[in-house]
Amino acid sequence: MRSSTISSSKRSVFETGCNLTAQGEPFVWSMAGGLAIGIFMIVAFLVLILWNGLVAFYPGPIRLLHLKNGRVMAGEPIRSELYRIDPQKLGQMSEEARRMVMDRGGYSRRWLYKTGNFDLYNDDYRWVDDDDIERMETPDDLVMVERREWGPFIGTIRMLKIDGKEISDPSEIVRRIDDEIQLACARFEAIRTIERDRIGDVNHRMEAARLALRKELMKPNVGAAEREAAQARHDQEMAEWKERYQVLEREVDARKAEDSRFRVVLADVEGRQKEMAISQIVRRIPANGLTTAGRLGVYADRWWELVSAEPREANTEGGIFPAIFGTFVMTMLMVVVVAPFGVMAALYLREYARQGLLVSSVRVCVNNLAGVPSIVYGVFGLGFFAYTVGGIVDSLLFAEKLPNPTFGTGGLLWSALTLALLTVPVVIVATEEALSAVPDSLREGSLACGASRWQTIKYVVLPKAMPGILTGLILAMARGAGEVAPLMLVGVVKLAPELPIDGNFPFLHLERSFMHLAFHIFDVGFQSRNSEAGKPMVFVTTLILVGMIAVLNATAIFVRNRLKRKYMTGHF
Amino acid sequence: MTLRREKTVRKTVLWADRLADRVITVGGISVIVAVLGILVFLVVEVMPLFSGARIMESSRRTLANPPTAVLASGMDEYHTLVYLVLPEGSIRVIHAETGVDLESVPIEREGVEIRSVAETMDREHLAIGYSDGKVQMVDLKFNVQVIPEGQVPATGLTSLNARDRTDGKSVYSLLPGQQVRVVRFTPIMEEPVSLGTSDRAVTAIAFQSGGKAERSTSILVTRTEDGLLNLNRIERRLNLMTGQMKTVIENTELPGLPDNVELFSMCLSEQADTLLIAAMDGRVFRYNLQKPDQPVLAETIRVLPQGVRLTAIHYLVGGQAVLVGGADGSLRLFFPINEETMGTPDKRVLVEARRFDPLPDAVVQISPASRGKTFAVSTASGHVRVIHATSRKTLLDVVPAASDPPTATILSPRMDAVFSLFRSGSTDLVRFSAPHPETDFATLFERVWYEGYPQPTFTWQSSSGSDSFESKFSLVPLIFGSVKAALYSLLFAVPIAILAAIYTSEFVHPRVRGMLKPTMEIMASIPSVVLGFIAALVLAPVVENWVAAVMMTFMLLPVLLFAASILWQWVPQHFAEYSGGWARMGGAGLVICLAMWGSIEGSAWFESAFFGGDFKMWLTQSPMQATPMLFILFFPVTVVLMGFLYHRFINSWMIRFYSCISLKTARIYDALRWAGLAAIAVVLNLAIASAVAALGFDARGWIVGTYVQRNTLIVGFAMGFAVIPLIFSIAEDALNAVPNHLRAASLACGATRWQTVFFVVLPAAMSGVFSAAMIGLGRAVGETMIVVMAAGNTPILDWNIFNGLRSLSATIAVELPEAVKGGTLYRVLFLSALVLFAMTFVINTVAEIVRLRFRKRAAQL
Repeated sequence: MRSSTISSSKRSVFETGCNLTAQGEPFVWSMAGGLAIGIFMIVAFLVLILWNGLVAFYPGPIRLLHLKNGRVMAGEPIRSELYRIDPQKLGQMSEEARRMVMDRGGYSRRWLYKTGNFDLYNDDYRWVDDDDIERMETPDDLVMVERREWGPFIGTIRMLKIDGKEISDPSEIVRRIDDEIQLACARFEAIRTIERDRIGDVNHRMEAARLALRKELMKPNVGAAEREAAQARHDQEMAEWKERYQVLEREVDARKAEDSRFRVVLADVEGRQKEMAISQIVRRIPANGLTTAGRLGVYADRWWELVSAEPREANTEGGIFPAIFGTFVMTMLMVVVVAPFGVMAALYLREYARQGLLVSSVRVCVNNLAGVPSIVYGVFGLGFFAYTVGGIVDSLLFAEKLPNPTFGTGGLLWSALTLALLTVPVVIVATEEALSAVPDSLREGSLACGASRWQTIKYVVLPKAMPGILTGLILAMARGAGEVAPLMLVGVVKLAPELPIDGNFPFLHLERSFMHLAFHIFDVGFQSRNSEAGKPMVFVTTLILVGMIAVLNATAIFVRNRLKRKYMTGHF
Repeated sequence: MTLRREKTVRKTVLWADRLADRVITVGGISVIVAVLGILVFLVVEVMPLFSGARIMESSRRTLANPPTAVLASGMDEYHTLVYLVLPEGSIRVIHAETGVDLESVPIEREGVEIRSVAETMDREHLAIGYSDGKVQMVDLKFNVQVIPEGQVPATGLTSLNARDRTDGKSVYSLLPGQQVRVVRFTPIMEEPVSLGTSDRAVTAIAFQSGGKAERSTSILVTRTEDGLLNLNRIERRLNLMTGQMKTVIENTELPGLPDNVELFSMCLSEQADTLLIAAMDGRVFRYNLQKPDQPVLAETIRVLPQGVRLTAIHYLVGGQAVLVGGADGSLRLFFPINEETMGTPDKRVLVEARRFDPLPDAVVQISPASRGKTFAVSTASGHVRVIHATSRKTLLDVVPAASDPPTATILSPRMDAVFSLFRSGSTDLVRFSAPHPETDFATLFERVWYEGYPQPTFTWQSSSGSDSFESKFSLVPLIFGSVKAALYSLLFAVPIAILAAIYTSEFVHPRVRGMLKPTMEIMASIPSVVLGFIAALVLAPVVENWVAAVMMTFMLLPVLLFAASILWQWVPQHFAEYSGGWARMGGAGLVICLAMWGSIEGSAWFESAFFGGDFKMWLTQSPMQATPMLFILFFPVTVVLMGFLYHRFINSWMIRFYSCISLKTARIYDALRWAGLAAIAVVLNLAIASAVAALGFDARGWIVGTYVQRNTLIVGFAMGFAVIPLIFSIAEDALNAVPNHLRAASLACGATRWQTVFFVVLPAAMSGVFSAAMIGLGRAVGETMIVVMAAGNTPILDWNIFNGLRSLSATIAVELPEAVKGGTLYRVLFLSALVLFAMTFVINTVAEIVRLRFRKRAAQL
């Protein structure tokens, strides 16, 4: 049938040139449509990510809504949508309102308001139909107060209680509040530093002492005298640390008592009051009174908090510094593992092994492994690295901690190794391609000059192939940084109490579990109490992650393009 | 390679060379081995799932003065002690491994004899029916303690074997770590009670007990010598103030049995809501006791073929399934299911769900474990077998040397030992290890009839709330979920990606192509967690609100593209030639915007015209018309059919016709021709759709149906995002690899651009394009995060695009973190990973081989 078509269309083309079937326009347009859909999807996706990520932290106005049912509420408008009013509600509406809705085809517009005050209302987001609003205003005295617990508070500041002195004059409050917040923050930081760093250090030492004793007792053939000596040493050490602990605890208590004398009384728009310590306030945003510069200041401040601070409120607020740090450390470890081994395997396949059926089938296998689902690597990592290898390491080196696993569970090292295994095919393929792009004439020239094989590889082949290898490594990094499914099995956690690198010996803690940007997205978006409250955080995290990966990829593409150009002129 | 020269090479160079040789060879090979080792490791982890039991230890001894009959028996968790309730009125306790007699606890009732005995499922309570019509309950508790070695009494212990010593009552077993476990049988006899219904002998009894210590309830069913059946509910309340026990007995008479019934045994289910009375002739009478004051004889069923005597019947743990053994060695499992049509009073019927491999002769003892679905059976000749009820796997088979009827067969509560006592007095304790009795090939991949299910199903339900839970490990719904997600997303992604690749490679300027490809490659590296999040939290609510508009876009877009292509023919030819690439693309972009705008504006009309006003309502309400959906579904098919018919019958005539008209006229005729064809296609399609609908076929319940927010459509979109760049990139590479002289030759022969692409380039690149689609399939099958987040995670077999799914990868991601290391779920999830590995490996290998062949061919062209 095909041949007949060709012959018939050929004839027509020769005869007149105006047979429009031969132009195949509908088919060409469907192809153009396919491409346009692809581009449309990419653009829509990027715009969505960029827009939502960039505006998430920009403080909007706070609206005071007087509803038709007589109630008042205040909130920051988030987004609006058209929705279909369900028939039941339509039935309950007044005749006039129903006609209005029916004129719009049964649809109505509603806005989502961030109302905050979770501790008073038990929700912090509310949909309000435009038709339900009587009137709307934006009074200057409404503030949004970001708190360390319970999310933001929207309302007014009624009173400051400083050292028992009550200040309720609004202008006086405005004059003093920011300074007080700053002082309170300093107090809060000081308390946290003692609690986390110094008390944490004491706890660490106590644990170390306990483990040392256990290790001593577990040794075979320990005499009773030695046991007692170890016990006595341990008791003495413990007593010292306990004393230190108590001193620190007293200090914390004193500071907390001081802190609790600085309090603030907040009230929502319906007049319900809430009293709390000033140190619970993270920042105060008088949203309606701010100039554009002021808003940008808040915006910048929030971004700085994001990249530098730790998460709070079940990860939905605060910063993501531990996640950024965890992603970074894990990816670096992965590269350290994958680079030598991947390059070595590729060198073997390309430069050392005798080319034949075996090597080419190994090559097919390696190519295939790049397509094996990442979760399979995760399963392998959990079963082999964490449980099998980790179990052996534990029983040999950390027997005193058992049955609590040290390496026998998910952790940084196992995650890095799992991802290294996942990305090693990518590196092998890229390196092999780069090696095969180095012309044989170069190798032959080098060998003819009397260089050994290793000298040839080291001084001639590898430098030429380096851009290609780097491309492969960067692509592997991009893949590793964005992969989350295997990490869920081998060591990522939603909230890691400690960073993988800190001041305690041995500084880099390979056994610790860590936080990861991609898992942060999953966790905040899907496992927090209120997915709406976590959305801004998810969007900015997404923006950071996608930005990171795009930069890595763009670098790889840039390097590759330069490499191509180099070889176009570089042929012998 | 090395050249012999007069001058010597520096030694360090030689060493470095040799060292590098070794390191690279060893390193390279070990990396490759390590990567391939994944497969080996997975297989090793999965293998135990398919194995039976391993015998750890077996000891045969002989008991001095063996009992001729045992009414009830039991064993402690650690298989140290065995108690035997003897008809003479005593409980004899022996050491399980050696058969040494330890103590004999008398059941003191003078002048009356034991006529019947019943145990509860957990073997912790015993009810004894006496000849004077009284009933006595006994608590059969083992007291187990672990004490340091130093606290063991120094004297008065006799050694039983290497591990155990005894003081005549307790057994002291040495444990690792200088500890000793003390096991003692400590029965508590309660006062015999008169049930107050009859003082005739209790000839048969069934018993279950429940409640707490201060308020315990016992349900008894008794049959007295005069043939009366009674349901007795004994409630004991402890008055906390006075410490007095108050006993309340309620009696209800059950409907009687037919006269000619020779009663074999009575079984009460664990919840005491069903009573089964088995007759010797193989009939079972099922009483429904759900309303204790109105018991009903719900059903009489023959559980064995005519003429086969019933020789054993016992409930399994969970109180649903009952095992029945016959004199011919057959062993069957029955449970009640809900069934409206059979006409039983409680709308339930007992069905035979499984038949086990027949035993060589009559089944005489059935001993289920109290913590799982494993049970032991023994036959009249002394053959003992341990079987798992769900998988029907024979775990252990102990064949006797000589025929010796068993008097007691006990499976330990932890399902790791079986004890048998034979008439001759020989005892046999077999300790075994069967870590995964519930899985074999059939339970993983075939239909299994689970307890309470109306028919055999493929079911995945791994979480277990209690010991009596029957875990359901069918991988079929998960494999189905993976395939469903992959197919629907490819249905969306493959056409777009391949069309886009052809356009990019053949119709746009190389400079534009140089920009498009990197963009797509960056797209390919977007983490899937981001796509999943966007799909589930942003896209899913929007699509849920605008389903009809989305459906309409799918229809409107091709139609508008088609219209645009006809309009394009009116564009002056030199402009079309000069700027065709980007202008068409821009035009198509406009068309997309137009289609979306039109769909949003027109969706209300669309819904009322096609789906009676509300699409989602239409999906669930089957009396509404089926035609509209069929119309939409069949439309592409009809269009292809029309195209074929046109090509076959009219095209050559049209070409001849075109040859005698001018371009301008041709444009008009062409537009008319397409419009006419489209009209015919619509009419034809409507006819086909109505005809199919009239035949009673409906797309609802098949590929469309109830709408849930996170569904396959959403997954398809998101996964499309993930695979479009991949397929695009590989397909574009393949098209680019077609050498340019082929195109040049075709164009030189006078073929148009499109003809060149369709008849020359595409056939040459076909295998490469196909492998691109295969690689996309491989990626889609294994995608994890998108499915976890956007698919709703419901493991069902349902092609409905508006319903959720659960894939292999999502199940692993969700359940493996909580699975117990080395447990059955853990290994089944490893098997899932292996299946996933195998699936993608096969798909990728096929794609790779096709691609290599294509490359070779392209090089030859």
